[in-house]
Amino acid sequence: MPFHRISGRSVVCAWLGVVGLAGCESQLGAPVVAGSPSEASEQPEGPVAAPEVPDRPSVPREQPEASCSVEGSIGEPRLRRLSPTELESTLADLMAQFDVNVDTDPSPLARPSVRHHFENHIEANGMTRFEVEAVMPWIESISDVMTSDLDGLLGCSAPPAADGCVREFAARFGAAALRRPLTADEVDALAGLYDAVLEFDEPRAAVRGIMEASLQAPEFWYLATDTEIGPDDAPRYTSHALASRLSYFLWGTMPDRPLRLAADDGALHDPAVLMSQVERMLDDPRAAEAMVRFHREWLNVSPADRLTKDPEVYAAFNPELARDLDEEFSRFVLAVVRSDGSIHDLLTERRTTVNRGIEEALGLAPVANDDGDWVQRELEPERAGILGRPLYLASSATDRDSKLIDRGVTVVEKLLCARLTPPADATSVIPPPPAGAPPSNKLEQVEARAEMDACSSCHDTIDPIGLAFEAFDGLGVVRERYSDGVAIPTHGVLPNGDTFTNAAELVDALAQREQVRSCYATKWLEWSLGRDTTPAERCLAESLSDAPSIRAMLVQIATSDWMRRPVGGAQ
Amino acid sequence: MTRYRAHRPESLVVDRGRRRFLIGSGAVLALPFLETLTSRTAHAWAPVAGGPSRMAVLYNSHGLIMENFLPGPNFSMRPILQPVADANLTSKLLIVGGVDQKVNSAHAGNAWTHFTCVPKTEWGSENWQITGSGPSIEHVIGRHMADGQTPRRLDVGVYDDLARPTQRSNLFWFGADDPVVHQLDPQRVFDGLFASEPTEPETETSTRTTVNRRDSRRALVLDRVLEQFRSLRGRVSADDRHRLDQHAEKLVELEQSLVPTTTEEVPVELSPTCDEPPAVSPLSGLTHREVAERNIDILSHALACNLVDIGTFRIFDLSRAALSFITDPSLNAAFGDKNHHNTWHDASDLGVELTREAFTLINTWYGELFARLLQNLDAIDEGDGTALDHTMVLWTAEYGHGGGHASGNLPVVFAGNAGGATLGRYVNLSRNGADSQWRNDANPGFHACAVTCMNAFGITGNTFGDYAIVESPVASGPLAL
Repeated sequence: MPFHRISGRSVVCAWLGVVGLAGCESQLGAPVVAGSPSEASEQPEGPVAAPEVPDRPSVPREQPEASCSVEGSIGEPRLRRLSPTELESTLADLMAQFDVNVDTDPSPLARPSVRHHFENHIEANGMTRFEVEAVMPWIESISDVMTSDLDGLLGCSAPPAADGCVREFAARFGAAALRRPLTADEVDALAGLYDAVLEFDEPRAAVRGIMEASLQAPEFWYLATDTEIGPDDAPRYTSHALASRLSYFLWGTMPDRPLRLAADDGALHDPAVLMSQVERMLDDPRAAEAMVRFHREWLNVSPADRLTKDPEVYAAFNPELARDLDEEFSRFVLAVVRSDGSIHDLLTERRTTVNRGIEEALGLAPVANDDGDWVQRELEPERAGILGRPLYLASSATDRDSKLIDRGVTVVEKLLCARLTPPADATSVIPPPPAGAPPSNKLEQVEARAEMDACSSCHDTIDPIGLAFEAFDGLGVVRERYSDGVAIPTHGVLPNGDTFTNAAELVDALAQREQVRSCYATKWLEWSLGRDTTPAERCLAESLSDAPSIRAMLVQIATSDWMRRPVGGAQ
Repeated sequence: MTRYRAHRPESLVVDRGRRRFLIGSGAVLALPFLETLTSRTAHAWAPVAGGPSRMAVLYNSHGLIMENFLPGPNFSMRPILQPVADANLTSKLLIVGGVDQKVNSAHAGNAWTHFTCVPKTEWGSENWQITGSGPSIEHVIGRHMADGQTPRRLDVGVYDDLARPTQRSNLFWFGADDPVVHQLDPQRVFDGLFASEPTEPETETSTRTTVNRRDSRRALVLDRVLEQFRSLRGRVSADDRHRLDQHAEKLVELEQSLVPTTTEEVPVELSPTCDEPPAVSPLSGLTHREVAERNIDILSHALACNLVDIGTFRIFDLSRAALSFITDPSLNAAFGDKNHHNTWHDASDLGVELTREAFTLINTWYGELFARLLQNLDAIDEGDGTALDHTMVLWTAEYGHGGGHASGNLPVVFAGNAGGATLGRYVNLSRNGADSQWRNDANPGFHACAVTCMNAFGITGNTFGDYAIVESPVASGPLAL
């Protein structure tokens, strides 16, 4: 009598070390696949009939060649709040515009959990009560810093009543905060605020009032997308709304001066100007930063300063190595993108740039010199692509060992865009372990999961992938055996017949798949929109996945019709 | 850079009956956020005769090793609550056995549901982790005490990553999409409560004027900001409008809080303890234990001195490294290479003895924090009893045996004031034996516990939350205490 079961199947195999929030209930038998038009109806309301567990669960199946003609709006923006990172970058850029370069207190915004999302996801960035209350004194601390040289900031001696100088400052500061020029009424309102504060306080407080009102304005906090009627009588986003869409997509911060100028005179509506702005923006260091951030958030890669390892297990680990691994990751991503690489290259590229410290940590014969210089080279045969980066592997690990399930789930959720969710009628009843000793090592756990239907429905997919990546320990170092001497079986067969002997061959096989390429494009759409994609958008991702390079795909998104025109505005 | 001034400010005024703390000057000046809550117009709420006038909730995830939590014969404490016995406070405990989690959920779903008693149903939605299901019990009580206004509350905790200043809660909710945020850095919590702006002048009168001037500016600024919300509102879709409105509502509350109080102020002698907030020091070099203790101290101080009516303390899952102040070798053996969550799974009573030992040690540290909170409150004499006697302290979790994610026999212990229920005893409400970790339909659900809390604060009624999707009948009404 090994298990307590509810409805005969939904047991939760927690004692086997099932990954935290992913239950064993699988939806992989009927995979949620990018571009699958059937997904719109996949979350029925009310009691959910238990899906049949397939006899032989598989890696999510390739969808039949989809014509992908799902009706629905594409690219429609929702009013989303800046993420904490976007807020900090925006504020720094805004202060720099006024020649103020000082550190401010960190924002009081709580960092959202981004395990299943990008940080800019609309649902992760709601404004909580705590934040609303904490933002006010935080903004006041910024207005305090920015007005320390009041006359310098205004360009005049602060007058006893709002004059041309104050109005000019209000218009300039308001436009910077709202990312669009102010109307005359809006300038009037700020000038009125200045005068009202002067009735009981000094000019500096009145200027601070202008700044505080602008920096708490909804259009500072939210990405507004105002529309207008173009000369062709069709609706389009205003040039400033478009500029913000572009800059938060490609940079994660506010438009810079050249982009603002192109918006101010409306030139940004010209497709040629738009194209040249997008190309310019992609060459900017801010795009490189955003590019690395996208890939970190996509794969839940820890920044160097969050990486911790148990020195008893990983004597080679230290903060300097963590920083090196972090840099290697960034260099790798940027090298692929800058050489016009595609998602295929991102997953399979073998060349990377390392220094001596990394070579030593990975146990490689040195090529790099002792001076800390970075050299380009190939590493071990098992290691390829972004999933082979030691920073990723060290992130998908505990302090003491790799996380088999976590790595498997990453492939399923992040590369195949399939969802692993607890069952609708999940129960909190746990099966006791089978008679005898509990599984003592990971391989026994994998076997035990495979023997239980309720577990195997997901884990038959997750575990073989995870096992292939077990060839990398918790620091990303290649190993053939566990510390107890047990050999790691990294070979396997994918349901479509593809065989692999190691992780590099596995990612090779994955990189061939249309599903992986369009999943990657879907992730960029999610990033650009700050929300989940619609079925129609996942259709769109399929066509984006044919782009010859990642850069070309980003250009395609940034210059697309839906980026420029609201639904129904297309010509 | 402690900016707290230790001398007793002259104009510090507290109304004991209404538990209101008015800002005059000095210690509580320029509170970045609490100030706006504490300066609002007094509300009409008064405690039920003999009932509590504040509430503190201690929560830890993954349940407890119940056999080492529930008391032994003659109300003798087992290891996890032994720290309360060491503090000679067991006579102020009411341990309740046999309360179940009624929600038919799994894994973290129980956490989302525990204090709201409204089951989370959006399984499978990518966003299910982000939103809640309704206001949690302590907020409902706080709102009642604040006469429908924003409660005065402090939410603190201890988290793995000490550098993280705040963490959203998945347990405590103002509303379905409005999580409580736990503050984690004691220095910041302290500064938020007790420090004044460094730029403010030191003298009392000028500071007071400065504060008034700043509040006047704030009111003008908020006027303008809300006008811009109204303007943008007209240019966005209905869904987006809802989003803006939720933000604007909170700004309106903030604006209302700037209206100066006109209620008569009744000076009340404060305990000297309230003059001297607990010491804090910069975060660097502190262990997780020290961080937790400091936050407990600040929380108990804020409660006892009526800076807040509601307090929560959350112990997040801590890694082996964060728990390194517990040096017992059983922890190393139990954790191995696992994280907290997976280590717990092995601590099921059907699992490994060693991990049970390790988690008893960890749980006993939770017990120490609980005892510390009680001790701090009990040290403050309020005339007709101690601050503890006027506080409902509740320690609970959404699982019984965390290892199995078992939702039967949850840990529930009241301290201080349980709404008139006799203290110093163990009440076992279980219909299937208090040792069972499995749910029993006949056992009271946690919502009965929530109703008990509500009634203690004068909210009538015998339901809380919504158990509509539970197929089995559940006991309703308050706990039979």
